[in-house]
Amino acid sequence: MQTEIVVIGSGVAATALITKILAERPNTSITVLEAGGKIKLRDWALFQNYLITNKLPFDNQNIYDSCHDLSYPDRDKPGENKFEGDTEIPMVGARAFLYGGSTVHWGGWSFRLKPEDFQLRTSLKNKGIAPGDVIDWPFGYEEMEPYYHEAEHFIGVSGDSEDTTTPRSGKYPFPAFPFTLEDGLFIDAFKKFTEPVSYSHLPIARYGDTHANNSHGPCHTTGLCKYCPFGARFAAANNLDDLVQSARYPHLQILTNAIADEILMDSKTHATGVKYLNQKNGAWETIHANIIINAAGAIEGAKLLQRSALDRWKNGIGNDYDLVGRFLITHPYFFYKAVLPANPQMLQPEMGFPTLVSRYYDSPAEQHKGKFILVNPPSSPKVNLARSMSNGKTRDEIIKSIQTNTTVQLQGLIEVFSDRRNRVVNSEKKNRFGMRETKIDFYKSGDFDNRMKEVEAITKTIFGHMNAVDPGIENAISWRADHAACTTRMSNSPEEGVVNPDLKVHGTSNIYMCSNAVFSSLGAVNPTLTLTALSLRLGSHLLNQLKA
Amino acid sequence: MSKYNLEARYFVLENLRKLDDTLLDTLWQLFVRICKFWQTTETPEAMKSDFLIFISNRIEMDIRYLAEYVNYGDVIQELTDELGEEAAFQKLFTDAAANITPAFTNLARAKQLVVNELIALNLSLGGFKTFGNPAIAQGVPINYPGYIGGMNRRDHTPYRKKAD
Repeated sequence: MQTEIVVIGSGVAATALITKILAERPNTSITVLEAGGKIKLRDWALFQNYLITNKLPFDNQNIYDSCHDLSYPDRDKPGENKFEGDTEIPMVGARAFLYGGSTVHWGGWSFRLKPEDFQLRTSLKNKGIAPGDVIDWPFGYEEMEPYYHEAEHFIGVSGDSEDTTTPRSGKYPFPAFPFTLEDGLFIDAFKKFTEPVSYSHLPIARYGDTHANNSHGPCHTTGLCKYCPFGARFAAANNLDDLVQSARYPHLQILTNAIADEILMDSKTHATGVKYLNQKNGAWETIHANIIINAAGAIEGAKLLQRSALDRWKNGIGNDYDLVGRFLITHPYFFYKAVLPANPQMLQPEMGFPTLVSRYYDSPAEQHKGKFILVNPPSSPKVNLARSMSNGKTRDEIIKSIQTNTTVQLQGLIEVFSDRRNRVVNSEKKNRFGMRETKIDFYKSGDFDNRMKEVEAITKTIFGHMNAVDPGIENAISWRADHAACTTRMSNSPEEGVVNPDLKVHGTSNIYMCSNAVFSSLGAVNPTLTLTALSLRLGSHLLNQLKA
Repeated sequence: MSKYNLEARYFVLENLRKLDDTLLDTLWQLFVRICKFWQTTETPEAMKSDFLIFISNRIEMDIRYLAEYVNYGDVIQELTDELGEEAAFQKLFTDAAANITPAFTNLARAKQLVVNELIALNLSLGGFKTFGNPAIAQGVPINYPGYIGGMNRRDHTPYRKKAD
């Protein structure tokens, strides 16, 4: 099989890239290899079933499990993948192996990085701190800004266009969701600090009928999500469907259950195609292409390079400096809670997603310690109205139970820095999809626990300003592999990273990485918007290449 | 002994027949009763088309729902004959015995697979908007983590928002 461009992976990165290229060159021949299968989306009956039962529609059919890593093995269960190091990165639930990738089950939080995030190494050095393995991005925020704007329109972000948290050249496509009444508790508490803690509307992707480029209507269901009450979420699978079903793009094809195993090369610099396992017929097949786009995510993307072209690259493509798979970063996600002894306003979470975020501690002043954000989360309501009614409680009884007290929560993400020891590599063992399992090494930095004590002290002060009592930890910190990044990080030189500023693998002429793997550092916020912006930027680069 | 207290046997086979207009109306009356009992809305008619789609979708997803709806019709008829209409719904909404697990009586099946589902539907369609004591001006939870409907709302905020 021959194609102009082969894209490995079908997530948001691939979808944004393909959409951009086809918009300008609709006859481009593009083939997407997706390791997973396809599940049913946008089914109103399934949505209603979720509303009534609170169960994801595919729970009983094991489809959720069929799209995800299993837990790590222990003596009682075989599990998947292998963990080493001192801080576990749970893989289960972090990735979705299916048509459309992980946006089929994401929260939609769509932050921009802040300008200082592109200069982490410089910032640390200016503070007199040894930067260790940390590097700067090879370009600054101003380079990314137009692509951030384009990305916000591509995935349909609702946000506050007057928010000065990050400089912007244009408005969000949709206005921000107003703060909830419950958000007011936190806002009032933020104002009580000697230097008031700033806050803003959380930008969130709400892709629906009102989107100018949308031809498929709202999402309704993805099958894997905790559904949003608006029935509208950006899911790359829906946008892929639009492209595939359009008569305008006759040379686009998406092969599901196609597991990319090796990138093939005819010289050390030039790739010729991809060898993959066709799970549908069990056959090994090859697709030849002029351009190879590795959009398989920060874990699988790095592993594919490591196992490719070993006759020309001893440790895998782009890996002469043993950097591929290293510098793994993800986001520790923390949860704190406290209790309001009385609740006369009957405050309960009223939305399936948050509307308030504080990036006050996601600032240059905090950068050397690890920036973090605080979110008033969409936690479950204390009193479940439906359950109370079903249990025979009367209206008055329910009202009384809501007014008695309530739990308030603060959640957040915190930035950690690159460490060469942290990495992903291929295991010899294959999982049930037929993919090589992953061995992960991860070590948290020595000062991490102290930093979390600082975070906890700040949250306790906030709760204190709210007159909430019994502050504590809701759950242990989750290290969240769903934000895994930096495993083939971007750099000006091959001694520091794996891809160049155009996302092309150093030392090759036609292999590009397009995933969180290329982040030079991760910042304190969710990576999807930045990844989408990078994909659109790569699209511009490739269009220029194709014109040439 | 009342039939609704009998163990449900060969449940699907005995009840698998077409849902007719009479039974559909019986189900709609249940929905209206839910609105009234918990004072969730004074205008249930506005939710009727969503209600009808819901019933249709439940059956389409799982044909056994036909039997559940038929069973509900039989149970409410028998309860009404025995207790009168008001007391019949009172029992259906508040009798703890109807929530036994597993739901092996006809009453329990009617409660858990029909009544409880329509309660959740009622809330998700907007019943939450008026839930609460109207006398407490700020105390009304106008939303519920169910379905709000719509995509990006510019003109209407379907939850309690912080005053500017």
